[in-house]
Amino acid sequence: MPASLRFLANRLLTTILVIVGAVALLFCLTLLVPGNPADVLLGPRATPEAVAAFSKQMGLDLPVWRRLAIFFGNVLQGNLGTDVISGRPILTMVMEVLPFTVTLTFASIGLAILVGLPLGAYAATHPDSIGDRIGAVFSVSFIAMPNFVVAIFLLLIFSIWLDWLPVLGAGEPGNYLDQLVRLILPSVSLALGWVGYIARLVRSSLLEVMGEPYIRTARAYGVSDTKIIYKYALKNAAIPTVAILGLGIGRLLGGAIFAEIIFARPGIGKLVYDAILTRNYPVVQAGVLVVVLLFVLTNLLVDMSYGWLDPRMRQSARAGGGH
Amino acid sequence: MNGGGTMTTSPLLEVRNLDLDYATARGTAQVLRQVNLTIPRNRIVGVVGESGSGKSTLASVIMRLLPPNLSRLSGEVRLDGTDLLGLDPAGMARVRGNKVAMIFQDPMTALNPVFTIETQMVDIQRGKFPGRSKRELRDRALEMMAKVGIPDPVRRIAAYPHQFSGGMRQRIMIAMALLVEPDLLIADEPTTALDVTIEAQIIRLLEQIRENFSGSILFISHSLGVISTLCDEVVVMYAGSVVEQASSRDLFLSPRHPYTRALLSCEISEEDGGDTALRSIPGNVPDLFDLEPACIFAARCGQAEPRCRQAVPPLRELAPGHRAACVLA
Repeated sequence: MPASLRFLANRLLTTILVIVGAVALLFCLTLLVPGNPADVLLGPRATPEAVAAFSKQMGLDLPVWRRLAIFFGNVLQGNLGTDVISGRPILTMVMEVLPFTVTLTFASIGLAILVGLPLGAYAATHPDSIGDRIGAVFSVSFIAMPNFVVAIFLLLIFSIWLDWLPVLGAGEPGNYLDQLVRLILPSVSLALGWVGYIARLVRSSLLEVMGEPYIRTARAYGVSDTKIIYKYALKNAAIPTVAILGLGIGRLLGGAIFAEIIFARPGIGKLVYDAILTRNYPVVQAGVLVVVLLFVLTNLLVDMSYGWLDPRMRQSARAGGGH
Repeated sequence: MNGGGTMTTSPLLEVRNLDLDYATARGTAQVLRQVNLTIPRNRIVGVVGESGSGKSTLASVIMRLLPPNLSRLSGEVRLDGTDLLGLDPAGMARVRGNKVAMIFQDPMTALNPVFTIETQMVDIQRGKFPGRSKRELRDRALEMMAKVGIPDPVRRIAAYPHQFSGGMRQRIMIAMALLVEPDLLIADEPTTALDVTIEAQIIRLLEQIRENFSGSILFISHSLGVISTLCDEVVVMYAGSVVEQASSRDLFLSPRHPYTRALLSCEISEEDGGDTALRSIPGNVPDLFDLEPACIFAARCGQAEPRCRQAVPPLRELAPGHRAACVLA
């Protein structure tokens, strides 16, 4: 087996292990939560017989290990169960709202990169200038501000005081312009902190890279500054930035839950939040599972991108593959 | 210089009264003091000196690739009559990789690790040949790789720097420098970071190159041995000052400055090896933070007289083309 494939296989195997661990943990979490879900779902006036029957239907009467096995088996088949409240398959419910969360997350990352990267590049090429200092103040403030606070302020300013943007919802189905307009505030609220993060990261890594001898070589051959910064230096500087970004996807997904609640957007976050309020565990489990999957898969992608960014990684993966 | 040389063509590079200071935490370091040197056309001029003699800084000044803690830079660096120190950044960018190219000391770090050799070899030619297609530039690069002895260029051009050995990387750096057909090629200790056997190969390659190279080469080294095999003329630097400049032959046969003589005797005893003890120059290199208005070598010089400590001796022409900064010479 070629070494690069072995690296891929290794990485996939660890990814699968993480997912298995996450599924087991998810299952255990429901055991630790106080209160019988059947009690909560049926309400205080349900008869003990009804509760017992409902528990049986949900499989709550079985021993723990059997429930774990069943849970694993179902997850493996993509069967996340049926929602006891609406009677619809949970997988369908999750899949309906998943595109909204994915769109929001990627729009936020895209926005953060689009703004943060040039800001960082400017700061690195004009260190200690007024622009750099102002950028630093804003970056740090953005990083320090929790994104639900940002979201509330954005709503207040742009939707209520200025009345420029719609307040709530994800937009009419099929009306892409409406959907795009309604994506602005939630994605900005999520992206703002990341703009600061990326600007600071790009600044410090670029500053370091600009001092490298190979940048001097490019200078010595009259390669233009723009090309040196945005081509030769940035690809080197992107390596640490991408590493942090990969870890940050988890935080971003967490932030998306707040944004969905505040802006009343459909999405995994909203789904899980509503399910928690009604102690609808299977839906919570399914929602969290999907978020875990998203997180693990994006991290896998980030790991794979190192190989593209840094050819030495391909080499070291090859060299280390035999051990 | 201009007044005397009416019959000869003007030199390619003239460095006049160059002073350079760096600001450091300890104070101001006088890295170059009143440096004067001339590089004629189609000649290889060697600059020799110990570490800290300012020889690499001299190369950085010509390229105008100076660190930000530069606190003073005065004098003239005339290339083809144009004072490089007076050019704006855009003007200087047009000189780099066009009229002047440079080979760096450490080939392991001088190439960008995340781009292929092809990308780098193509991009460095863009300034010199703005109109040409990528394909043409790539073909030129392939041809040059073959010339500098890189086997299988068509396959190797797609590789990344870490996939080459140090010697091969230095060959790539040399190929890059030759690709832009510079009037002045600066080689800043191109073999110092390499193994001795590889060093010999690179020196042989440079000897081959000089046959067909139409420009001048400024070859910086700490080794008189390497300089003697390659260079037409030699400039000897000590603690930021030029102490002697002469043709290779004159310098090795009749060195005039006591420092040059001391350096030569060290080198010779090194080459004899065997039972003779390694010879060295007594004393230490002067402190660049605290320089006296005296001969820079007086403190270590066996022949120093009181007048050596009273003023900085100017570089005097002792014989045609042979200059030394010593009142005793």
